[in-house]
Amino acid sequence: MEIDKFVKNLGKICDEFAINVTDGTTEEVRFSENTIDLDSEWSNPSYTVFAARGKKIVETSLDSLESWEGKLRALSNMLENAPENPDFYGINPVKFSYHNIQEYRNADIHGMAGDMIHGARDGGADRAAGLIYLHNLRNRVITPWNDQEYSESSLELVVRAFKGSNSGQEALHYGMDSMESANPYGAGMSAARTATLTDKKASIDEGKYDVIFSPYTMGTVLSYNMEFLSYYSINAGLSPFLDRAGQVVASKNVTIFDDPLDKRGAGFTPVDQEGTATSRVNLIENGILKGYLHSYSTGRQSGNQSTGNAGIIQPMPWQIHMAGGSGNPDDMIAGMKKGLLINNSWYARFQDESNGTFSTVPRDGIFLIENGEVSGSLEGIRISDSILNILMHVRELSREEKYVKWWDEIHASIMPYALVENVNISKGF
Amino acid sequence: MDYTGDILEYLSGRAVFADVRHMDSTGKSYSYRNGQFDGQNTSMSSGYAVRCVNNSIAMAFFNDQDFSSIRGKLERLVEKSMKAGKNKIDMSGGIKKSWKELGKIKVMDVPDSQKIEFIKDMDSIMGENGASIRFTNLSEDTVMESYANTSGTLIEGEYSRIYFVYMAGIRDSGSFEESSEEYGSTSGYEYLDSLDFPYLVGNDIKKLRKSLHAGRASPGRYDLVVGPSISGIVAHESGGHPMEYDRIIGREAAQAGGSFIGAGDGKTRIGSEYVNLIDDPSIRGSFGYYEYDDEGIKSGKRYLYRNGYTDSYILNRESAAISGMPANGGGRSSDWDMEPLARMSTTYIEPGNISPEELIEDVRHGIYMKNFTEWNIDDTRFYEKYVGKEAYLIENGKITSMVRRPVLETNTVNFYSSLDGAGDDLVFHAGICGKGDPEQGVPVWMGGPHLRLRNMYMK
Repeated sequence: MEIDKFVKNLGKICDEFAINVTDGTTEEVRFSENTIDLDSEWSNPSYTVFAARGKKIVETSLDSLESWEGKLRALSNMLENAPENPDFYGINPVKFSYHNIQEYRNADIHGMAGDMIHGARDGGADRAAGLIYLHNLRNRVITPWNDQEYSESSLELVVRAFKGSNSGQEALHYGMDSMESANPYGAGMSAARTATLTDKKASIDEGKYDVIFSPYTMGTVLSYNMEFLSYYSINAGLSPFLDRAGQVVASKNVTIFDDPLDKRGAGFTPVDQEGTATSRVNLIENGILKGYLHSYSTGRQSGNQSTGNAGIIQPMPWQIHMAGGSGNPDDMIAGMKKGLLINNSWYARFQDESNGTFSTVPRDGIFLIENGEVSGSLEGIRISDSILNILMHVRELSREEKYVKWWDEIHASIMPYALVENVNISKGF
Repeated sequence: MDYTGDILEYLSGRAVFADVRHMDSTGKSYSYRNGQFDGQNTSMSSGYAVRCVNNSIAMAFFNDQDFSSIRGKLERLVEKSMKAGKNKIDMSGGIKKSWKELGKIKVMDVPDSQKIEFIKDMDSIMGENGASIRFTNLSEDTVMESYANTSGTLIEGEYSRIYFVYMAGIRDSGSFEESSEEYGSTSGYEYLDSLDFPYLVGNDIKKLRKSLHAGRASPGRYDLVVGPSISGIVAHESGGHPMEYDRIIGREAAQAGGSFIGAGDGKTRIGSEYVNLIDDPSIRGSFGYYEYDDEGIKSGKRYLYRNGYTDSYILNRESAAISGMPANGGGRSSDWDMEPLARMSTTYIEPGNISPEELIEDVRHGIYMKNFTEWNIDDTRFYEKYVGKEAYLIENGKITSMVRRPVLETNTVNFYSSLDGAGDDLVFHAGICGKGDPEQGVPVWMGGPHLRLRNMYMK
């Protein structure tokens, strides 16, 4: 086996290493204007190799081990000549054991795409666009201390439905324990329901509003902001959560954790990139910041334990879960005198990452709520606020949680509806 | 072993049209953070993107090294293409060309130590000027690419790209400001000598430090003069993107979005007569430079907006066929394992004939916004926002006090309609443009001259 020879010889040129291998198949069907655009299939392996000699480190991405001798020589040369990274404190030497190879799942994603289109049309939409992904991947993590392997199957459904200039969107992910429950027709219907909620147009002044964040909107906001909880960001000095561990950073309604072992989601990750077994990591509990995301190295550097979130140099979240509450979106709307319901948002950009100040552009269902009812749809507005202000003003959360994942905007996560008070809304002139 | 010929031979009797793209790329990158080396990465990647058109369009991406396994994948590809779907594609061919841009100082001739020294120097310059938070990254990619199709086209290209990006943050008395800038070129390492990076980086941080203590401008109406980095991002976001024809026909609707321009709109008024906006992949040395696109089509200069009206679209083979127009060299993919989409390369607003100083002289009550931090735009590319980084008041034709984070939140037609003068300067900035699903980022330049806009509401 090439991989065995590669591992054996890699061990000779460095002190520590971590090899992440992914192989298998990803299939995708894309559609727009109610018709299939493209049917794609990827079937290539990938190898990510992290190697360290003392505090000298190098990482390489390969898609083949063919001619591996030359690749190792190049790696060795880079290690030889590299300056040290003083923040590198090693790869986790603790022995873990994980071996879970399951059968791949098949699905007729071409037919499912058709079902989503039909759902959207039956729901009253003029047209629908979207995609389906089916991933059947086998992962292996090899370090001097661990050799772990697991397979994962996951499914992603994305559908955007249009009625005139209005749109609605659903973007859901499923893991091994939930793939059978996927309902593409229902997703299409649901997107169309948002797109057809009202044909009235409304407008608002800039200012502070109570806003119902859908799971997608909260998913966007947290996807852009949870990386600030990586110890890499904290150590760099660039995070609104810097020096706030143990402090109140959100309303008491807010509990957020990283949940990599939830097999109902596509973010399922039983071992991290250095072979550490993952687990649920509490990040914010009833509004209190509990800690940061760590690899073994950042844990040692800061006097903490690994949380199983390597990225060896840059720890990262796997599957963020914002715990739901006891409310529901219908009651949130019914109880709202004047406010907004925002179904999706994109393009978050920061003007101040230190304070978490950013704006993001709502889309796919932006509604004005007056006296408990949807009174019209809006366009051209922004959420222009900070992550701390948003988290501090979460008043109510829904019992319903959605497994949301969309493009590069929303990482695989689990989100409820959230009623947030005093959100700053801006608009163009 | 190159299987391009075998793949095309297999598909030639089984597909209405097929093409094969093979890319072989090697990359390196180096990072510094807050005064210390942060790490280095390499990548080696190669594989085939094979497209087969019958009743629909199907693609397969693989890097197998023997044809027997490739044959199995091609069988499956043909089978998929027999399903119902869209199947229009520009099938033009018959071109056999090669092109190369590796620059004067080849990336493989420059030792790692020299590249690391560069980012270390940039980190030091930022630190000396007061930035306590500093990230720098220098990366390079060398690509060998071939494209062949069943219509007889065979294009071979070889190029290298250099990309330098930094981010800096300054704190003082509880106040914070940050800056990110990107530079890039399709060339060799002579690029790092073609600009005065120590000055550019140092000056940026100096100005950032000054802005920490600047006051806010009162919200209200101002004449606005914007610098080339803003005219560049505007050109890209609200000029280039809405003229990508795949967006116009809804192909990107569930991801990067659509366009406020409709497929049947014809020539649409966008703004004043001063609005001339170009996309040109053929500018040598530009970050997005290419002679032939990733679908084997010759690149060239296109006016997207001309004299205030929409003009040419950016077309890849697929969107061209749907539009009824020939493909015009806009088909790009970020790597071998990505589909080609209609993409920008170097997008810029055409300069005018008056100097930036003259633009400012004719402003009584205004703001000069030289560059930006936060920006974003809605998915139809109509409602946009730019927050100033280095900005000043203009009073009676003269730049006076610095102002902090002025906000322009407006729409595309209002922006271009308010334009009453374009400077005679032209500066480009680099960026990575995201689109498609899986998302793929392609290198671009964005540029323009100083622009003057009348009576804009600033916050």
